[in-house]
Amino acid sequence: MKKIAIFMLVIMLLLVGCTTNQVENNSTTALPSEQTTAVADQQTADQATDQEPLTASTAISSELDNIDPWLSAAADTKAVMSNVFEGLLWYDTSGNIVPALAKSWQISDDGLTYSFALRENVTFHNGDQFDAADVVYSIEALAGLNGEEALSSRFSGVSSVEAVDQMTLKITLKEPDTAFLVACTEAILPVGYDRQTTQPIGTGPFKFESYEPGQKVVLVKNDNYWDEARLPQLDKVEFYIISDPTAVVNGLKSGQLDFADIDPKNIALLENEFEIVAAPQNMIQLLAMNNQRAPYDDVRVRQAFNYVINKEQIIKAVANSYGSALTSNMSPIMDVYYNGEINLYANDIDKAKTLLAEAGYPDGFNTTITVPANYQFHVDTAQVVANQLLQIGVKAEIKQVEWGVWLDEVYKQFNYDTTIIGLAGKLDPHQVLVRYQSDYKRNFMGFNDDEYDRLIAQASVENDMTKRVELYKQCQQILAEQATAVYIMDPNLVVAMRPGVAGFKFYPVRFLDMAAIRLDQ
Amino acid sequence: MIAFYSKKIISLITTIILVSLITFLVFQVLPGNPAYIILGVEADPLQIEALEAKLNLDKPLIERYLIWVGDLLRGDLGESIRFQRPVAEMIGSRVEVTLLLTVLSLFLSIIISIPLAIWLALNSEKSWSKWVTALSQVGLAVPSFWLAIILIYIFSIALHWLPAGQYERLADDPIKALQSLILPTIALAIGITAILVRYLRNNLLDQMESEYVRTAMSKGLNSHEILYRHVLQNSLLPMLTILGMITAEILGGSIVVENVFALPGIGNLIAISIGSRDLPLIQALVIYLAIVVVMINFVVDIVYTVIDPRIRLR
Repeated sequence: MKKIAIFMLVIMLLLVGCTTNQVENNSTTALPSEQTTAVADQQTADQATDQEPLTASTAISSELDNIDPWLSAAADTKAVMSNVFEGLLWYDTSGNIVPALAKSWQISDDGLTYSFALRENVTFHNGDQFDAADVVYSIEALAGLNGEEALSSRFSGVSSVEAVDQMTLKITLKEPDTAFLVACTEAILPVGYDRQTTQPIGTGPFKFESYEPGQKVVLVKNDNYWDEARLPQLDKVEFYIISDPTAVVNGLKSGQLDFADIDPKNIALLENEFEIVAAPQNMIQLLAMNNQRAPYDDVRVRQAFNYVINKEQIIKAVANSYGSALTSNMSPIMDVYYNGEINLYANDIDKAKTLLAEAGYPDGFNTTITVPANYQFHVDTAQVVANQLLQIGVKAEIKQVEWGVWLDEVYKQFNYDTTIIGLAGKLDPHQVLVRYQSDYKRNFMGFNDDEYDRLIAQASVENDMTKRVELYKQCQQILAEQATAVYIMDPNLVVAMRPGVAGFKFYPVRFLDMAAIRLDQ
Repeated sequence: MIAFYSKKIISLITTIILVSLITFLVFQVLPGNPAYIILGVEADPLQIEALEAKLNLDKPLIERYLIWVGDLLRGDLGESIRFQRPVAEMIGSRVEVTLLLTVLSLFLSIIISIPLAIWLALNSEKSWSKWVTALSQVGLAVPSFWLAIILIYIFSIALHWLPAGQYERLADDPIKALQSLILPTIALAIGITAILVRYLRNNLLDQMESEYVRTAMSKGLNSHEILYRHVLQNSLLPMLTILGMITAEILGGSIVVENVFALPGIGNLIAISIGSRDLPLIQALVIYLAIVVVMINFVVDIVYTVIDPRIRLR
């Protein structure tokens, strides 16, 4: 009798898992009753026409950091969730700010008051009507005006948000902030909805359906999307989470993925069956040197590195020539803000040797390059760099570490000699360049330059666009002159698409615009 | 009987305390901060600080561990740091795959290894039998992740017969679920089959030289009767013990195989939780595995007494 009881216990233990599973399924798919009926109606409609939902599958390389847009920062998460959420404003493929939930906007002459005319007849994914109350709620939450902690420093200059009427909004700033328009691309969320971290809703062309860690994110078409021109053709999109570049190739070849971005080294494996497209992706790959630590506290050592490292060679060897060489911390894709006149370090090994000798290292020295092992691209780059450094007697040991360790040692504690990493670009040059401000908390290269600090502060209050651009160009010039890092390349985003997939759009920030994708049926 | 159960329960509790302590200590020496891992290098420093405070990461690790122990004693496994979902729910949703994978690969290796071992034992003098036995050595030596990659290459990429990954829940799409489990099952089963075949074959050969076999022979029974009536029964019993160990091995192997095939199982979750320094999640997973392994050995002990009444639980 006892034995039977024990057996039952064991079996129950094993079954507990499956039961919890069902409970979870129910809870995550549970929607407000209206919504459920709507979905049911649609399903019957689908069955009536007897069609499989048109689905496209692609890959992202890392887990979502957070499905609540205000709590998320990772580029991969933005790439997916920008299909779900929209801001007052949005951006086009050239990085221009365009109307979205706001039809139009006006800025007062003193640069302090922003007025927005909101778009009518927009609904959130739960059916709620969008109006000024949602915007007031969103901006107040982001700026910390609702009595809670601020969620984004981009809104710290907001002094008040006011709904003039149901469809007109006025935002007042404490002081002019030229980056504020770009900040207005931040997601607007419905007021009074408290399940954003489990079942997020926005106004975008796709609705969030599910996220299974280590597996995939699924979005479905928003049939009520306001913008006819961007109404998706796809009924459903799947983003598989695949971190290994070889597994992405396998996924494409086995037909699991319709398109995906690939490691340029794998182009040869795919180019016969897949269409390959590529464009700069606004990423800064750099050899960062710890400016606070000897010998890199000496500008001559840093300049010597800049003279000896051959970027074209790296781009050819590591990126299969799919990359654009950089001169400072700005990608050429940033068009107006990019300083194209910097040309300081043409390869010159003798000059590098002289500089090293002047700095007191005539025979070179030993150093380490700390690289995150999960980024094969950076590991490969480190190998080429280490070889090039041998030319001036610098023996670099490549120290591969796990991503968590890299973040801790390099990015948090600044405990490293040199490292190779990619910094994703932003739409706003301030966000790109603020990294080098001396009091920026994650200034992990330890750059400290009074002139730079002054220029960056001046640029963010400068209303005149031409002057502002000039200030940012000067910032880039300083970074290059001070040889803060060796700015290697903007690696191209290389996308492989199976025949029948069209419409892939490249943006200056990471965004997989699934509304633009078209599949042959 | 009662003494037996209390001994088992005490050993279970000791195991749990030990594994949770070890995990905790490993996390203390392992560098890495979950808030940074979640948000990466793109984050606004304000965001990182807000997240650290939200996740109690500003408190010392020992305090967080004690909070966790306190919650556990109240039956609350807590919330995953990385995914901000209840840990119990996350583990629950992943038991299905690992359970299926374990049962299927165990089943597959048993149905292959028993007849194969008998056949090899009966023909042990023949030279081809020696070759097959030697081949099983290869099966032992080949790592399951390598097999997994080779299987994906042949059956998913070259032939397009079976999917590599893309698991659908059994309840949603049973055919697709089983299809996507075929390759991982094979990858896991080959190594285990090799162990079982070698073990059972040697055992059978040992038994056939023992005295009761000679007695049976002298009574005039033919060799088939001796094999199936006496020798096999005596050889299968020790195999039960090894099955307990093998199940633990499969659970370990599934960590690797689930990750190669991207299956949403416990092993895949373990890899994710370690990568993101998710202490509550990894603690719960380690404890879950400890309980499963102890329970399996417990079941094996009981089955033992059922099959062989001479063995008493002490």
